[in-house]
Amino acid sequence: MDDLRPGDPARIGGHRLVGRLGAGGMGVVYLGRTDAGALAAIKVILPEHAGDEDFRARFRREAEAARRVDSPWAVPVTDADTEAERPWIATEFVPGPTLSGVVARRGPLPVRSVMALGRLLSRALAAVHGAGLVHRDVKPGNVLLTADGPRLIDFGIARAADTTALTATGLLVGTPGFLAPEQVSGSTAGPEGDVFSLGCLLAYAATGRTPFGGGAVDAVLYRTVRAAPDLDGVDDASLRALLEHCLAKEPGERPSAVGLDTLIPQDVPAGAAAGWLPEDVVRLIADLSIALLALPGIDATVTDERPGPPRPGSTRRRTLLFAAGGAVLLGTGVFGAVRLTREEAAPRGKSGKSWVIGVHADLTGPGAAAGRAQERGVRLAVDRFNSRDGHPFRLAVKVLDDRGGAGRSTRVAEEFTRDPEVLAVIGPTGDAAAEAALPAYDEAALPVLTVSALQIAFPARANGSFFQAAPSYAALSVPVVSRILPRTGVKRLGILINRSGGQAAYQAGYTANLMARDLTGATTHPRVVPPGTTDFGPVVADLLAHRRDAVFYAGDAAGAARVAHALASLSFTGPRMAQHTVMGAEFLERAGAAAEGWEFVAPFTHATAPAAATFAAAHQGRFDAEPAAWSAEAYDAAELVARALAGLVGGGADGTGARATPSGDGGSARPTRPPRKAETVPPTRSALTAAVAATRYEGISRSYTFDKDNQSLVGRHAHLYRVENRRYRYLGPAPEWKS
Amino acid sequence: MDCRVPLPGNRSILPLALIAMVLTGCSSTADGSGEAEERSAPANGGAGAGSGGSTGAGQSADATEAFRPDTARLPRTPAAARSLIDRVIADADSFGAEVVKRSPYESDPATWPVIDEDCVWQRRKPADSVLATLTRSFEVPAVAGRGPLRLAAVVTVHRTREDATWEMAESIEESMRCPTQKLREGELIGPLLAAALLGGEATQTHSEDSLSETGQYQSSELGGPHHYSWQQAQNLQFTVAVTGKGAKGRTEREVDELVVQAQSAMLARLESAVEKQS
Repeated sequence: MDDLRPGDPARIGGHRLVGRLGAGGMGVVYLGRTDAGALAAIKVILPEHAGDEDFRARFRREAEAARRVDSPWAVPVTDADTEAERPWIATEFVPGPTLSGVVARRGPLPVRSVMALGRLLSRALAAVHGAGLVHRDVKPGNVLLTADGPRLIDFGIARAADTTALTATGLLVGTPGFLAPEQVSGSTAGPEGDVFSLGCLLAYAATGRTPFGGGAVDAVLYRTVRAAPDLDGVDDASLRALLEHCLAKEPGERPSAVGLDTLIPQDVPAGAAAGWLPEDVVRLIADLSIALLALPGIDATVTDERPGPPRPGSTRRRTLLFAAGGAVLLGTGVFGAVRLTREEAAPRGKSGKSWVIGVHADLTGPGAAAGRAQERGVRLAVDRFNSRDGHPFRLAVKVLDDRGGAGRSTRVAEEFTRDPEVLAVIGPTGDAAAEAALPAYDEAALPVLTVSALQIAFPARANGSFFQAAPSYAALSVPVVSRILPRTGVKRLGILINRSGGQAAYQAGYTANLMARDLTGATTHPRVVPPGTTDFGPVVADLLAHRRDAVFYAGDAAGAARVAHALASLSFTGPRMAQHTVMGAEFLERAGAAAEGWEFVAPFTHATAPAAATFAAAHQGRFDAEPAAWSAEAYDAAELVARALAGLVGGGADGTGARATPSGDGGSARPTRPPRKAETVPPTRSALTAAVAATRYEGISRSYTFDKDNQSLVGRHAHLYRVENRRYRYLGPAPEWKS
Repeated sequence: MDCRVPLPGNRSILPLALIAMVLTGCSSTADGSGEAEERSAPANGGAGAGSGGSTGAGQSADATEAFRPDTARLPRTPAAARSLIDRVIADADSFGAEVVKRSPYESDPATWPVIDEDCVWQRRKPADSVLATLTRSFEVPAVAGRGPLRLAAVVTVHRTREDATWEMAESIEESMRCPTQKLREGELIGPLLAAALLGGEATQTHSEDSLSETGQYQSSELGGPHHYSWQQAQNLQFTVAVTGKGAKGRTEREVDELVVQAQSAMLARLESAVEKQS
């Protein structure tokens, strides 16, 4: 799933949108959630089609027909608005992997499963055809698998431009390799075409190959029309006969969908059939479904609207309303998270207790990109830990979303502190959230490690359980000036604080000014602009009028882009740096060519850093994506906690090295009887806090040692990036200050 | 909130810990303690709880007005501005019983304090955006074993709110540009550190923007170094500021409390001078 984009609507019909599932020629498919909490896939038609009256009439007809499709094996249409300015249709969202995804990972399915698939999908198709529709794109990518059976999706509505292939003979609706010969020849496809496609799909499930081969589209289409299907490897005679029947070149020779069902032997499961797939495939489906559900935004709890700034007079009421709504919604979120945790924690061939590492993240708010990356980092660390033998305990992950808000963050912290299985928390993502969460965590002495809430200091607390596992905004100013000022010819540094960037900007800019003067003796020309400033021309002109050799910008991304344009228009080519909070797509998009050459000192490493190579490969394998910023840092933090835990309870290779943790540190003495062999007693939270504080760890992003007094990171190891060809290129470790 | 960090040794390079203390507003001065915070808490209390927060992007002051003004009561002319200043600016009672007027008590209203290129304070003609400005001087007189604790209050009325936000920006620039400043011949302040908190950031709920500067004060007359504290806040088109300079036998806390006391009083008066009357 992808993030919503700036132009995307926040709501459609009764759905709040949480992400993009895909996009095609006809429109965009969003993931949304109804007010009642149900997930839905919502296809929204592009304006150019919506304006076409013929199209709209067809869409209206098809949507109406689709609502009549009634089969447990076809995903139901839940809602539609065919008269909206941009018409849309919503179907139930099934959190299962596609058949193609499962076969690609696991290989062909056994005969019995293919037969069951044939039976259940033929019933789905019968319902589609019974409603007067033709699917026209039956293929493995349009079948979702769940433990109790397949689900056919995307039947026949608004098909035309969505799935077309350009061939020598023109446009083609459908997917080559799964098309019927009559479709290839340009005839209108009827229900028989769907049966042919189902035959191709079943052959694919049985062999892992499409029956008309791969390669050039025209070659595939030629074989579809002319050649016999390649069914090598289908040794079961009845399955082979069934496939050949479906794959008849003449539409009239194929069975109907209803008829196909009767051709399948009676002992093949029908109905809600557990056991229709082999055990390992069910596990794979469960894993993939969990991964899908765990994707940010899906289990996120939401209020209907973002609470805006309070208005005088009604503030109290609004606040109370928000608090009440938040509590209820948080409840559902917690439920979802716990459910996921249980599934994930379920022992798979391993015994032992699971202890929980919480992820307190902004998954849907302004810091969602960082929060999601951190969730993935923690999951990887926990997977890795659990895959190693010799630990007397297993780790599980519980994720709660604070949406970047202070109020929700407090409640998330309270929820984690109340859960006795949670031994440590990675997060929060943002500064305001961290500030709000701190009292609850500290009171419970629950160790919490943030990697991205980097205010220079949070109020000191009694139990010292809050760790900042990355250099603060202020500390990063040292590598910033170390990068800029030793360069030849750079003696005068212009510093611009844009207060739209809040405390992060203020602390970075103010400290850079101090460090530049104190460390290097350079002269600075500091400028500050109020929040909301949009015209940076005069300030930038003033910086250059004072003959500054280099510029450091501390503020938000929008302002950075404006400053970049202003500097470019004055042909300034000296060193230009901005604080890491600017890094993101927005700066690149808004600044365009003016972004070239800008540099950043960031706390996060990059997939291309040599130390991150193994991590990046593991991330790619698990999430099918390169790790995003902050993922490795969260991995480090979780790994650090895991090591501290293992150190406390012992980690003998036979798994019996458990020992009671020292009591007396938290006042709650533990029973003195020795723990039973099979059960390791988890350490107290305060014991773990002390262990984390004392842990030294060489991580992917940096080495970790915490200051004894305020639990902040010792050292200022950071990473250097530069914009080249409209991308952030990783240059390597940021320079250390050499006095 | 108490998060003071002891300053280890006397080093030329300011330790990050000290910067931390100041930048995060952890000193008592930026704490918003006193009645100002309590009073305005209902108006802004929801900001922290509900406004979404961020990883660093500050809450915009545009969105957090400390109170709702009656636009008809906002001054548009120098005369109206001067009249409002008279109602808002601190008098000796605003600080507490021990404080008395100094002489000269009020500055020439045709001038305001400006720090020049060499980091020396001068009184100059105010910027065009200023409708009116006034500075008053006070002190806690010297008593046996304790020197005079000098205080000043400044209120400035700009033509627009935006002009006032630029004054705040310039104040930060001045502290960055001039970590050591010469008040007049024989009076030096520095090194200075300034914390700036927009409304809604940390515990700052009493104004749209708040700046607090702390450092050391040295004087040929009063010796030193003594504690120096300066607070400036902006609401709407107004800025209000108080400075306090320690002396022998005067504690940091004593100075800070007087500054906070007068600042809170002026913010409260400002609110009642321009808020909507229901």
